Amino acid sequence: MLLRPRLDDHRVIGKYTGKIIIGVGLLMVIPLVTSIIFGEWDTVLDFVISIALCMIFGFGTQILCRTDRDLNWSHGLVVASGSWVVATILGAMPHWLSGHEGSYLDAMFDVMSGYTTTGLYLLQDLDHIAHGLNMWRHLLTYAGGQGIVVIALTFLFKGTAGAYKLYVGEGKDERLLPNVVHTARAIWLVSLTWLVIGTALLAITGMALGQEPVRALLHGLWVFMGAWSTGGFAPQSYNTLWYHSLSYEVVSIVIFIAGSFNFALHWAVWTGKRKEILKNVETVSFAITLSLTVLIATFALAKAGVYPDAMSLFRKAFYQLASGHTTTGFSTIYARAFVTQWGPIGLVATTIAMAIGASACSTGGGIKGIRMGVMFKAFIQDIRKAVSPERAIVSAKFHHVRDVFLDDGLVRTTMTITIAYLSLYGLTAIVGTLCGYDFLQSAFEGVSAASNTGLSCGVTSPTMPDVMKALYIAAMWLGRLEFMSVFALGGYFVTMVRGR
Amino acid sequence: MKTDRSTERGLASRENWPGYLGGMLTEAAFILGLTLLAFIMAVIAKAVF
Amino acid sequence: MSRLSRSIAVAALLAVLALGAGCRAAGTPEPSPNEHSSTELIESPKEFDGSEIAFAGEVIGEAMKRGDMAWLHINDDAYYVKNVEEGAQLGGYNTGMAVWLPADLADRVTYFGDYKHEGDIVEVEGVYNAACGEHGGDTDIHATSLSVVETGHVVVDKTHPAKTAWAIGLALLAVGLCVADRFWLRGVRGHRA
Repeated sequence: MLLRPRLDDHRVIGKYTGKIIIGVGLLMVIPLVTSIIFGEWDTVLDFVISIALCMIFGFGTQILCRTDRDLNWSHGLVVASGSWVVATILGAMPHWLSGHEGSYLDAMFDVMSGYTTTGLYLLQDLDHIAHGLNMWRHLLTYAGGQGIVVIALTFLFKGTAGAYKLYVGEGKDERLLPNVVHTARAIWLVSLTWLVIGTALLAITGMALGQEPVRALLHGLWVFMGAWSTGGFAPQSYNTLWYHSLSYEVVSIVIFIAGSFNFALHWAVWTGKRKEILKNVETVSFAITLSLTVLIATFALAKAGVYPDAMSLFRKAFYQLASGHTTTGFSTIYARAFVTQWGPIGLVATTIAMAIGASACSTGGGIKGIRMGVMFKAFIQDIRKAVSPERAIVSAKFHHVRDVFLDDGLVRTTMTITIAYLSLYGLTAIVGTLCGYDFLQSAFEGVSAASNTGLSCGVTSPTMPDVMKALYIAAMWLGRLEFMSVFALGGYFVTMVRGR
Repeated sequence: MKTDRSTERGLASRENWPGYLGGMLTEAAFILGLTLLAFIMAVIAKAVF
Repeated sequence: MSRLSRSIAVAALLAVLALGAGCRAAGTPEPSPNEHSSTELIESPKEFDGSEIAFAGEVIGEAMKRGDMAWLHINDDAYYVKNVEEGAQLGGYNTGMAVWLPADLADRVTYFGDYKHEGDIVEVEGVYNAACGEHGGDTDIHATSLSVVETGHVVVDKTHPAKTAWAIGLALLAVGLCVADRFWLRGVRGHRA
């Protein structure tokens, strides 16, 4: 029997959603200040309006939903997924007010793409937008990478027991430290340290490449945010092709691959367990699948003779594949070049890389390395069982910070989520095909959206059917939150209607 | 996961930083290793075709 | 009507509103000035690879000088004459070509397109490379000449009075709610507790 939520449940959910939206409003102060510094007065107004709307929603719910109850598990899931929706609706306001979006749906597409660190966008005339709006685009992808809830946990909550439930609801389940608020702070410590060093490296490289200091710094910061969050937004429409530089490419590769690592891995390596990086199931899985897909693409491109020499081949093949596999979405080729130059094998290799994706509890998306590792180990275990004597006990384990034994419950959860991802990939591919796009291209684009990558082969565009825009928004959201909390939100609405 | 040295108060305290930066360098070295591997693949691929 | 069907009706209505909200009318965007637009060059790389072409459009961003040479980015999209900030119709993504040319030619450019500027419209002539060996496989044009067709201009960032009024009104409401939540209502609850 389904229990209909009571007024008190609505209050708890409203209260915590409101708190998170206040956090989103506070985040907008950074682009607001950017616009003030550069004297972009029209954009300043856009942000004042948007901040005000966030605060009206946030404080409005604080006033309406007064309760002292703490969150339970289903509340946590509903708040996590629900606040992403509200944050998208309100976060889209600056985009829409800028006049660069064809509709409010397009604006929401861009913002969901930002929060989920996807990187697809529908914004038009990107090369003429304000620094403030560019700051917002990149900031929301940086914030989304750590998790909107993680931000709120860091600054707005006083470590209630319910906080951990919110944190899990956002698709992260690692405790770096015993206390969840400290875990959130440790995540920030890692992210901000990389931010300072990564931005400095990119800015210095940018200046050496002929950018003026202010532009080099802004580009460095934004490209860092796009890379670290495995987001893939860049300040110019040319994406990272803008820089035409091996050194810029290498620096950004280091940042986005590091960004795709599990925060628990970062924390282990940073606190002295250096060998973890070679033993961890996710880095091992990533190294293997990345190398395999790079191998396929490199040989296919070499055979087709697309690139004239080994250096060009390496720069193009590795950059796009690493970007796809880490679900970043940076690209040093034109979107259509995937179709017109790379051809079917290149498209398929990139699609597989994107589908597998980054590490769990990272800023990235996709099925994730840990699931690949678990499924592989389970497969081997089954084979060993089949060939062993009947009474023999065949155990299997994998290494993730510590050794973990494989049990059927874990394998089952892993399979469930993997099947959910595969179904979502399939659905987006089929809907794309039904809308008249080539199957391979719609599969590429659908996987890119659902795995939060953001590479495009040209399907995503402002003229794309609204159905596909809406589907991609849903796919990005489901993929980022790993299904469960979104299903919980769905269940919440169903019980409101049908429960007793 | 329990860490011995970095308890809640000393997360950003000075003595932890050499460890953190060493960790960053380890990560960067691992990534550059993968990059080098891809370059070798490209060289071989170009030699084959 | 049952609660279920009522809910479905509400959800459908919201979906239609969400899809239709805030749509901006599409007009006829400015077409590319080029015989072979950047879109064509990207779409048929093999056909044009290595050929001598002329390419015109708006210079955007910056000139990145590398020794005696420089990179320019020239857009031949819907915004090369007038950009969205000046009230141009929306006409899809930006599209253009990266151009590698002698630095002294790049010096002829006065304005680079960004939020506050509509860049110079220039025409370059040179060789189109679908995957340039010299530049790590980039798609580019190695230009040998550049002429400024039309000098760009500063774009004024106008603020509309109505928008200003909305900003002030909403900000006051937000501050009011914040004060109410922080001080007034919290105090009331404090007494009750």
